[in-house]
Amino acid sequence: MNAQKKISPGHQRYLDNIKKTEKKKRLWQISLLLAFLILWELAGQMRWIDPFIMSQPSRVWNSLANLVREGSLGLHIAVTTSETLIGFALATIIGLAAAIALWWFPLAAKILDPYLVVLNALPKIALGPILIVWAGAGPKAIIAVTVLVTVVVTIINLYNGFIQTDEGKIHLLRSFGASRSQIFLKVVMPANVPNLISALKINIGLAWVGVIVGEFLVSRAGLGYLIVYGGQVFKLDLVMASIFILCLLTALMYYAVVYLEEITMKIWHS
Amino acid sequence: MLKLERVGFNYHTPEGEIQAIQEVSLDIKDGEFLSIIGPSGCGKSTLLSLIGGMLRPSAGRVTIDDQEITGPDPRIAWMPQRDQLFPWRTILGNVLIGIEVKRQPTLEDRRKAIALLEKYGLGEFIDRYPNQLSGGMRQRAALIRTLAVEPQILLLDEPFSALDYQTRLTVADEVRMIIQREQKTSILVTHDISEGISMSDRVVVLSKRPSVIKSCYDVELSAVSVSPMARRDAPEFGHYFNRIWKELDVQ
Repeated sequence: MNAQKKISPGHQRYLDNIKKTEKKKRLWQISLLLAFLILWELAGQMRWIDPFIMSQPSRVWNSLANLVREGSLGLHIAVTTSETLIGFALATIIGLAAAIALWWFPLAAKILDPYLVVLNALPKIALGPILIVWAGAGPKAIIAVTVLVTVVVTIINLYNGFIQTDEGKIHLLRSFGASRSQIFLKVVMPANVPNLISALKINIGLAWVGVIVGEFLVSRAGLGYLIVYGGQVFKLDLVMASIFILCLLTALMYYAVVYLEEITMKIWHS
Repeated sequence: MLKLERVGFNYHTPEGEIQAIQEVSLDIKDGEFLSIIGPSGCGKSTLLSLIGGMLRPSAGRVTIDDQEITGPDPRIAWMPQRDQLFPWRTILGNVLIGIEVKRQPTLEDRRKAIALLEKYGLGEFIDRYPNQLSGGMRQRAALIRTLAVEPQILLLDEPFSALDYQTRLTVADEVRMIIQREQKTSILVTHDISEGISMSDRVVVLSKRPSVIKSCYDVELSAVSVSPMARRDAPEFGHYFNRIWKELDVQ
């Protein structure tokens, strides 16, 4: 309602200043990227670097165009994206279920604590070869690696959020005679929605790590496959092109989660 | 009638057993407003938890109309120190939470809750969220949440301590008037002597841990109204204040 009021010159200056800073920031962000690309291209053209090893923007562009012409780019993107989404969803669901179980059975949480700590510290990728044997050399193994990379952090983050739920609010519900499931559904879960969203944000990043590593280990398609293949046959242009696509996809998914966060925060009023 | 019969409470830590309440016996008449005053850490809040059935006494028993309290009891409702309104629920949603724990709220429940909110000046905030209300209004909403379950007895656990001084006086006044109108038995725990005297029919002073009742005062003030603000101006007020102050033995 205050915004309807007449804006004082001082406040106008303040607002203009914010806008100016914002503009400056964008300009610099775009210039940095352009400068980098131009310098890279130029360095290749002038033979300051060897484009065969270092690649260069124009070659990356050609490589992308090639992939599009062959019609395989869509397939690779679809494979990697679907693996990521499935792994991400599975890890989130399993992680949430496990965190709820730990909250529900405090003794179990105490017993399992050291195992969780070790599992969390362990580089999960070390288990890759075992998973390939168990799940077979295919998308299943890739999704298994993704889930494994993601799930432990999810469990720990969500569980910590659950046990840090405001004691006063739990006490209040208990004073009304609430059962454990009511306490969970009416306080712990709603109080942890912001926490769940931040877990999703971390998970999406980890899921990409899991999928790419999984594809490095076993795959016949996907961006991770293209990267490994390109590296093996010395097509660095292909590697760079794949990484470029990967950048776009990860950014897209991250911002999707951020958007989700903004919406829930509005509903959540916290 | 609420009765505490030789209630004692010990709590346990790995370092040992601590006797929080040695022995407390109290009879609280229906409709009475009782304050429990004591030095901080004396087990005032513990005593409320024992009455509310959130804790079981180590010795003695708590009864309502000769029935022993063994757990949270629908006849008793508790109003916490901070309002503890859930930020993700509307004011009406918050007020209905106590009923929701027991059963699916009916239209009648909603109607009653809305009527209470309207009666006590929160009618236009029914669909607002707690963060859109002032501290005083939030505390009033918390009281209405407590009243919505239609208890006989209210337990007020330092309900004004999180408010600034001015709001505190106004809200205490409001709360006292509302409780007067709703005819509830109330037990207020506080460390604020003036608050205790101005709000209550009777003040009980607890000793340091392990707590026993040090003394008991029937507060009789020549004030025309039950309003704590008016009662603070009564000529006898200072007299009670000084006696309890000495009793508390604050160093």
